[in-house]
Amino acid sequence: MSVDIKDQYDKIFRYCYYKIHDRDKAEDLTQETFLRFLESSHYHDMGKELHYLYTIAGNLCADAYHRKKTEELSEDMSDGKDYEDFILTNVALGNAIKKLTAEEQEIILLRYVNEVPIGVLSELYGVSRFKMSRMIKQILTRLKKDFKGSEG
Amino acid sequence: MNKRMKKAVQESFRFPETKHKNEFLMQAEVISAQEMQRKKRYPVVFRLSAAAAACGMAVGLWAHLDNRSKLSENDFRDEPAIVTTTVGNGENQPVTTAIGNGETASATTVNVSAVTTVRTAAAKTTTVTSGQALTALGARSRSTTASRSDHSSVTTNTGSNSAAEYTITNEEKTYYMKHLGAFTSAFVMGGNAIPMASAAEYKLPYTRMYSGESDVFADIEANFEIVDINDDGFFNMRDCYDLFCYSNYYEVSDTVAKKCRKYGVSKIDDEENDTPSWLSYTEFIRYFLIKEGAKPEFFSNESQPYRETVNGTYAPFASDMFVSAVFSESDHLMAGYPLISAAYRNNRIDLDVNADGLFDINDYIDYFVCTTNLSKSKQDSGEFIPWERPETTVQRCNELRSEAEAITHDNWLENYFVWCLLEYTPFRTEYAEASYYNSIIPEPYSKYYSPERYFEEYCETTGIEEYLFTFNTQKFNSCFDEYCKDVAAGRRSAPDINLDGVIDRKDYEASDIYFGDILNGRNASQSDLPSRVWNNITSNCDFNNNGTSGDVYDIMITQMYVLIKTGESNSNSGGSYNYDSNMGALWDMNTSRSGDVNGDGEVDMADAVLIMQYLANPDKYQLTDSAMYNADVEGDCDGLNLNDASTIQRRLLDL
Repeated sequence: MSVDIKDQYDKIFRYCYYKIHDRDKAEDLTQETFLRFLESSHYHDMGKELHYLYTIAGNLCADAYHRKKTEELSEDMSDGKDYEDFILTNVALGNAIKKLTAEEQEIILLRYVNEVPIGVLSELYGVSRFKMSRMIKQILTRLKKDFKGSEG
Repeated sequence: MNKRMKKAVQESFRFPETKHKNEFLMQAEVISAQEMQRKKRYPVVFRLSAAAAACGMAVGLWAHLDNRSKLSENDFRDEPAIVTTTVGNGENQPVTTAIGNGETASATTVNVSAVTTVRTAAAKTTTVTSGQALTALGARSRSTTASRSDHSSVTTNTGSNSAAEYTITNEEKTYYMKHLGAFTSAFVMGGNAIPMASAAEYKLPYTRMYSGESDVFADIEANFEIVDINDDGFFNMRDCYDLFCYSNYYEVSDTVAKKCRKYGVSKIDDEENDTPSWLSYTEFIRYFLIKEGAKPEFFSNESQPYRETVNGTYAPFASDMFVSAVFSESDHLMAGYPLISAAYRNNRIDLDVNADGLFDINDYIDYFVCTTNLSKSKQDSGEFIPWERPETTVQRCNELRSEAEAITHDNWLENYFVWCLLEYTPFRTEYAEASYYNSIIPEPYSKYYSPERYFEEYCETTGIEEYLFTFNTQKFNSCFDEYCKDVAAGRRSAPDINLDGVIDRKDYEASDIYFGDILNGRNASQSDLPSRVWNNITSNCDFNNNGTSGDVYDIMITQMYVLIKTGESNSNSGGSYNYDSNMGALWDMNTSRSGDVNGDGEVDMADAVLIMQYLANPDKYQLTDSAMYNADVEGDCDGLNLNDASTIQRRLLDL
């Protein structure tokens, strides 16, 4: 499998943005992710490019998050509490998604917005494909239940 | 998850737009191409050697495995691994295995009326020990079968005062596994090495030969016995050097002197001589520079042995003089590019003149601007307003220029820069268009710079322009007419491009496939054509004599010739090939689909070419609705296909 950078650019950007809630920084991290990916050619032939891309992006986001915590807050910096309201536009479904844990939200984002295959997701989270499928199914069941509850 | 839910989840997330995506993707494309190029740098010989060694190893192992019937006494392929020997009084003693270390294990009853004797690497071992039970047989069952350890030891409690220890070596049990594993590894290694070698092909993009020089080179190749001046059995640069030394009164061996005298090699002061034009060191040097490309050893005076002049007068060393001659011819041929390319790969020169960490088109623009500024500053430049570049960039450009000149002894760095850019980064058609640079160089200055000209030059001389940009109908008319006359007079061969000995529809189809491959960037290995046909088209089909075999003119000449040849029975034109005179036939047709695809008001070969380009790569060669309508000249509005192009060609030929 070879990764099409044009296709993946937006997806990695979404992932980074979801993690750190800062557009400029998310784009910087996206580009840094691809640069590191391109420089490490030995991973390209392993057939796990997508896995590798998300791993780099995740690590970079984690580093950026830790750095951000140590920086002083500037006046125009948002507190980040309501970023879900900004990202999630559908109120009812948004509320249902917000009830999920951070990891579950991330899985939903990766699986249904970025359309990451189950196999790659299972490797990213270190679980088996079957377990990942079950996790997604459980999340969706809960999501559906909450969604219908809030609509009703 | 139903589709509505999935869509709702997707739409629930909203993300801002990226700001710098396009700029980054452009740079990523460059990085990616450079990374691919870096992979190509492994020497071909190394790759082929690796492949051959790996395949040899694989074949050897395979043959070895087949022929060797028995390795040693430890090989028990034909025997059971465990041999039982009856001991004691021969009575069967039921035994229940014990449980070791508190682990649970299924109780297994084994019959230990026999002691198991196991072959080890050293000798047969039979062990019967007395003592208490240690490990249950069932508790570690894997240790007796699949363990990677050298020996497996199992002790069973006999239930009485003895315990039998079974020691089993796994070394012999993995005989087949190890050999097959080695064979597989070698096979995979060989398989991986072969495609790397095929990607390492390099071709000098440009040469400047004299007219008729190819005939001189043909003479050189036809007279191998003579051009091997030193009679060492090889025709190489040393023969050039020997011939150079003889011609310039330097010492040479008796063999060389004798041979030169025999064939009347002239010396530099000879006023009259009958030496054939191909028997000169200049032609030899040019031959090697063109055929083999500029190699570093050609330019090293250490490669040439010391020689003195025979008349005893003071003169520079022969090797220095010879290297100067090689540099001179290299300069004329613009053959120094391989040296520059190698220097870039080996980090001897840095083409990233703007020091942004990336070698790309911006470096070329900066270098071009700096060079132009420098040359304009040395002359009366009139109203020239220089676009000033940062001081560090100017300095790096100057350093690069002097380093390159020291390597190639010529002044073609602008050309080499473009070739390097095209070799190590993706080619973009806009590089050859002035408008592209107008958006980069600010308005007041852009009119003073034309960086596109080196790209235009490259495209023109390598035939890229003919593939990608324009098809000139007048040019085609002229060369097709000339080609047909030459074929009729027997001066040139007919376009049998698929090498089957006949001119028929298959040649037409082969040319179509090749055309589609070229437009889609496919190479010989990716094409549906056999490699010998592909190679024939790329090397022996320069029908329009423009120096490029297999360009769009050659393809069109082939197709039109095939149509004439195969359509003669339907035509009363007497084999006329001047289709210009038959243009009126098309206009007399009562059809609203004119065939004027490019909208220039005429139906000509350019329209057929455009249809073929569209069919080969519709993303790149897009047609308007009216062009599509006009192009669909064949069939009953069944959409565009190759028959439409063929129909236009037939109409132009009045077939």
